[in-house]
Amino acid sequence: MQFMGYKRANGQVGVRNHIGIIPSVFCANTVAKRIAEQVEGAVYLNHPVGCSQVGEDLEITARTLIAMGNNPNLAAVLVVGLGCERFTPDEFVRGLAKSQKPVEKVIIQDEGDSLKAIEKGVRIAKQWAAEFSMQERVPCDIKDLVIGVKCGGTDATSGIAANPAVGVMSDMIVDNGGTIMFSEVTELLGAEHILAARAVNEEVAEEIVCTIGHMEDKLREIGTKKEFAHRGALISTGNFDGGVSSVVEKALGGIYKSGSRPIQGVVQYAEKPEKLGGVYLMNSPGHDGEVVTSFVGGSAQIVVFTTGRGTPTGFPFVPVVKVTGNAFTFEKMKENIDVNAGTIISEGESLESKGKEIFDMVLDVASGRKTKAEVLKHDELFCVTRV
Amino acid sequence: MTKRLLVMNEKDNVGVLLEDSKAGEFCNYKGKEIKILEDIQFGHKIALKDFSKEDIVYKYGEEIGYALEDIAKGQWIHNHNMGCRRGK
Repeated sequence: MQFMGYKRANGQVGVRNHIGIIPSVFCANTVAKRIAEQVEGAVYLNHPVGCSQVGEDLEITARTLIAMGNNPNLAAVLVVGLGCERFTPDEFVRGLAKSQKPVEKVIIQDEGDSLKAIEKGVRIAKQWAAEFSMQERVPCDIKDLVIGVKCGGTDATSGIAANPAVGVMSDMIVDNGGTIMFSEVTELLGAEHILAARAVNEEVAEEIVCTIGHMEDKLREIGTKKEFAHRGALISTGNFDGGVSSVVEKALGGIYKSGSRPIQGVVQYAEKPEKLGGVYLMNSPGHDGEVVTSFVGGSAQIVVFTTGRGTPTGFPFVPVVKVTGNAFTFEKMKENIDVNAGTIISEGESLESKGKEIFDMVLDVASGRKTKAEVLKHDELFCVTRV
Repeated sequence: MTKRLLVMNEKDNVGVLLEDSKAGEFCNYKGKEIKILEDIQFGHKIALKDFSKEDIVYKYGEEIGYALEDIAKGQWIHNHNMGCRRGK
């Protein structure tokens, strides 16, 4: 089965053809934004990191920003630096070499001022925009697709309808040679034995249990201090209002998204699996933005996002397909939600039929169909995790 | 009128009501009527048996928490009367 995508020089496949304008440090955010605003097809990433960080925290920031540039949905990347930041624009540019895509940098302090940096950046990006507007989509195989699956704004319908239906889609992607990534490790507590039983071997089973155990230790350390007792809930007020009563109940309903196929390995935050194909657990906390960003870093071209309560969010250059299992939410938020899986509850539609509909939607989106979040220019989901 | 009830797994001792339900209404479980003892919203859980304090609550065939108090069959089960050792 095929879709129409953009072939990159290094063999990867993009489902979008944007020019990425990425600041190496937050001080360059506004310059990056102004460049992107002036060039058709350009997108920029806004973030609060890149300086005054050390150790693992800085390493994750560097790895994540580089991984954004390497995602195949970007045709070319302009790095925008200030000039004195700890994560240097040179390291950023070097990290993008393996993508073999056009990469340039603009340094504000080298250009003289922000106006000059914007001008130089616009001239570079507009050249690329003209060039890449000529690139045509070509037939591509599902084995080149990496799909992230995520839930946010969970209610009781997520575990009953939306997540199991997405799980059917996940199995179809894997059976066609593609890759599924799931995550939200803070919300896998209590489901580790089920996931470990799906591991491809003993080593991966142990890695899954350790990853979840490590996250639980971390949560216990920061979440159980007496003075913050009123901030101790792991799941949101909307989860409770929607009928979910504990983190374990949320986990058991959440893991359906990843389908039923063997888990091939655990991937560290925003890293790409060495070998694609099959299901991978991405090691990220459950925050919607941090998870989606980690998938994009793992080279996901599309994210499928279930939401019972309803959320409008999107990512600057990766389409996010919204699925709700709650027919009332779909009725209220149909301008934001792509698939109504509420029919599983209200009309008794089968999970298989809804899963196939989501699979078809994913292939359409891969071939260029815009998601509702893209049409409305929602771009909230870029967010780098911190230590 | 009988309210729609979904039980995810054979082992479960709670079910999910698929409609907003009022105290005094009924739902059907394994061919027997359960009287709904309090107003329960769409998507929320109802006790399918009488729970004693500390009894394990099962949904999806797995443990999702334990009863913080005695809970009668037909009562609403949520974070006010169900705890979880792994976190809320």
